[in-house]
Amino acid sequence: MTPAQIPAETPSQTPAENPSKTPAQTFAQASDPAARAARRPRLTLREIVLVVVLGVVFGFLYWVFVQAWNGLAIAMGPAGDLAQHVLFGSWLLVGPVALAILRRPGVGILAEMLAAIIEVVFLGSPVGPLLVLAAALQGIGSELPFALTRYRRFGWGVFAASGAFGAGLVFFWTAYRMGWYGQDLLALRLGVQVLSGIVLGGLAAKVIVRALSRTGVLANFAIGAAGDGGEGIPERRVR
Amino acid sequence: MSADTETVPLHGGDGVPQRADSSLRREIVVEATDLEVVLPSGDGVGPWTGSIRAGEQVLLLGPSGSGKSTLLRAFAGAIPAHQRGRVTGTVQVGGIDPIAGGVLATSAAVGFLGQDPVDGVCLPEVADDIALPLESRCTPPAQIGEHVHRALADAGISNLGDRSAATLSGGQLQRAGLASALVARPRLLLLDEPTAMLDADGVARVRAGVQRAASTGEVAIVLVEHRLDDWAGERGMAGLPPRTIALDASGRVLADGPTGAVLERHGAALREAGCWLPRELEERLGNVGELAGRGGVTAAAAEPMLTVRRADLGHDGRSVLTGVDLAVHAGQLLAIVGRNGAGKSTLLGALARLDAPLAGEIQGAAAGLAFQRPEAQFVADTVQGELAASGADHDQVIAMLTRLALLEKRDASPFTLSGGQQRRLSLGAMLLTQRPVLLADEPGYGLDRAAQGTVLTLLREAADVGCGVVMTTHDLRTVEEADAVAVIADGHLLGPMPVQELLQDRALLARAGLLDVPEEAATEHPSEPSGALIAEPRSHGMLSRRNPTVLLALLTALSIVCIALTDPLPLVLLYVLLGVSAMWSCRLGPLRLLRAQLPFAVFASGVFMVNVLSRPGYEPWPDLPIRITEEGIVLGAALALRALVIGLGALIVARATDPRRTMVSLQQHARLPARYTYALLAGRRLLDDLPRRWETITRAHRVRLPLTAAGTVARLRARHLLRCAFSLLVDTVRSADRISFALESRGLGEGERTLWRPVPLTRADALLALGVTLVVAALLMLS
Repeated sequence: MTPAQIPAETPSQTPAENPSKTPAQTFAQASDPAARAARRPRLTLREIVLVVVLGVVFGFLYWVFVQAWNGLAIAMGPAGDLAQHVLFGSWLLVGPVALAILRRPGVGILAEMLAAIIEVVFLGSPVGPLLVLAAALQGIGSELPFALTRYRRFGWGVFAASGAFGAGLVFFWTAYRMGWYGQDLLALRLGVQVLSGIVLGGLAAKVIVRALSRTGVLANFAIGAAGDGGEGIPERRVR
Repeated sequence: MSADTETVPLHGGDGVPQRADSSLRREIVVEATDLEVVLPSGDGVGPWTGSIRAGEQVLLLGPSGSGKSTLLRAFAGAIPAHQRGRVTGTVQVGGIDPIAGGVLATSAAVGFLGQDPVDGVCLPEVADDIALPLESRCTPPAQIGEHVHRALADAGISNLGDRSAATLSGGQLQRAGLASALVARPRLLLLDEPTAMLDADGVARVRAGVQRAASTGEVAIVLVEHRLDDWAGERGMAGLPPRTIALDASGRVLADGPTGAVLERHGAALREAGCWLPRELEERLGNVGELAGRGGVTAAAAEPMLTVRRADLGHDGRSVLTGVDLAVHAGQLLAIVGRNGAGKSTLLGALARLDAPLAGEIQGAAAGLAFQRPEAQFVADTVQGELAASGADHDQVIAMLTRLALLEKRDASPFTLSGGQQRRLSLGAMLLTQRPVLLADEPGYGLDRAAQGTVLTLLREAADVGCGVVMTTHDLRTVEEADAVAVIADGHLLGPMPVQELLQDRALLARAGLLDVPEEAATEHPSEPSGALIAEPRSHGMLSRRNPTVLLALLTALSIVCIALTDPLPLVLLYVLLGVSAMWSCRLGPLRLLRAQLPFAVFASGVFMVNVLSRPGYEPWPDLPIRITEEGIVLGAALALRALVIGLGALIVARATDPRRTMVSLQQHARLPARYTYALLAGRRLLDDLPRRWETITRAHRVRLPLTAAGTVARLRARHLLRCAFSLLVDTVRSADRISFALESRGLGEGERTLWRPVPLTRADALLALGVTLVVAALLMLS
């Protein structure tokens, strides 16, 4: 094969024109990546690993930042119990971030649950295994708005709604578990938590995903394929 | 598989015939027709038509961006399954179509070893990682141990099987990775710059492992390698793979044939395009080395800008280098050499004033430091912002962009740049800080000849305008560009000395890790400490022999019971009982037990206080200025105790289980799918590595901050820490790509698999569950 003999393959060539093409190649050129992703019944190992890695890195970063937070909680005394609602939203991040990158049903719930398993099994969370249940509720709440758009819209509004539901749904379980019912502060707790969910657990996720997307590291996930409008692969460039 | 082994396969455009040796009669492993890969960037590689037979070793040569790695990844099935790209033509690897099959299907025929040692091993324990491909192929568990030990021995690391990957040096990790790649006897071994981060000694050891695999004649090997001299070792060009496929800058196949003939014929063109060539060939081509022009200033004449006197250097109170004397002069380009882990980075950290000397003194302003991985140091969203962040005005930034040839890329994210562009950017940003001394950690690492020449020219220019420049390296040709060289060996700094003096001293070269020493003299040098902040939860006491799934189930049940309780009394009893059993079953002393509970004790007291103050009800002390209710006290106590009991239970379970046993047991007894348990274990391995990465990133970012008024390195504020967090996120998302590739290339899928070291579920576990249930039930009834 000499360089002069290069066949002029073009992206417009359809599989029918070239029987040697495999399904995987047409797969790479499918026009709507979101639809393509949704058709696959199960998550690929790549998707699972990304979700685990997000759980690990967010878990680690919480741990780093919580060093500062613990001191703050001690300094605030009784108010420390209330202050948890202010920062609550940040615990939601991994769900919407994973959803926006992978655009697959169930990923938000899975991301939250795997992150909880990482915390319980690897970091020995004092909340114990019931953290996984709370995480599932957070995940369901976070995922709901994305599911309603059929994983097609990823605007600020959807992220904000995701944060609000993620914080809101789990609140009622936590309130039961922590005995908040019957306290004077129930409404205040709910209000602060939902607000935090919107800002730190919804809008912040959008900011993170946008910044990550700019760095190019997401190019090979569903969000990357969606980013170039399903244009596919351009003509080869020759230097 | 085609059986026509008689015809000589047509290789390459220049028609160099394949050497007619015994390999021709061997089976074809790779066979491609018009194989071409185009990536979304428009870069591509191929088309390549040819075949590779068992026992053949092929060197894939080409400048950066010519698609060498892309071609390897296509062979491994990663395109388009893992990485978007358009593949045309056909390719078969061991009878499998990697393009249609993806990494998992192709893993049956392929072993892969990449550049970064951290990725070589993807599970926390070395032996588990090597066993993974065997388990995926349903090797009977009784035979796996034997295979693992043989693979360890073949890689020359027999003693490392039971080690945690976090404690291994780069060279050891690469050999463990090689063992994983070879353990299941692949037909094709793909090596993508496996030695980029190793010293000469490490290169020799990895090469020895590869040679041992090659000597069986069963496996075909494709190697991408910049450091040809180090790979070839003493044998010179004869030590290189016998066949070479050369690519031009656009990824077209320039030639495919015997290495000597290809290099002879295309050497000049390849060097022109930016490729490294073997030294002996470069000498013949003339104009040896000369990556960058030499400066004119004589070093000793200039005033020292940074002086180290009798200093002991190290970090966290651990001394790495003792009695260091060093003067950095204006106009001088000084190279620091030494083995991996010898203390090069420690020295740079001290000169940049990130670490104060443990003893002795350092005089002069803090030096600027460009880290080995430029990505660790990026602080802005755009290339232009990156330079502006160094405090330069607009004109200076534009001038620097032009000088770095990055003007076109000014609005791109620094993370999207190529390796060479990133290195230029990080050096440019550091130059703009106007610090008198510039330090560069391994500035040429992973770069091709052209890119390395550009970087060295930048450093030389900095010296010429009066900076003192210090660079670390493990590359001989980079050393030759320096004005002087200092050697770090055995905890001391030797020199600086003239470069020629070092080059003539073979013993010293070997001590510096620039020359591989004969096998018997080589001693295993310890790795840099991994600096794990999260303590390894080693198993303690008798509970550690119990089944982790059972322990987790008991903890779950206990949590549910606690949540149903609103009366403090049974909770107090539960707490006392758990405390006693913690001391007994986990060998925890009372003091350590209390200390371990401090964080949740603080939380519990907060819960108690809020309830006491905010719950309406009967007020026993109505005269107090604040409202305190009986309901508040009772419920608050119950809720606080609940947190304490569950926290203590979680503490006991965390101490009694280790990640591997837990995940294996969850797979066996809780039916968690293997893909999830191994992904989580790989996550655990990553988690062990994160403290090290975080430390590197935060240090790198601190160097980017303007110095304080006192001339010291500033501290990171909250917004800087968020930047660092983002850097870590980018870094780990990249890791996710490599981890999933590594796991799939070890055959991890949804199919049937065996388990080498299962976790037993015994009668003792049943007794434990029964015992705990009875005790808790009795306690609830009594109170």
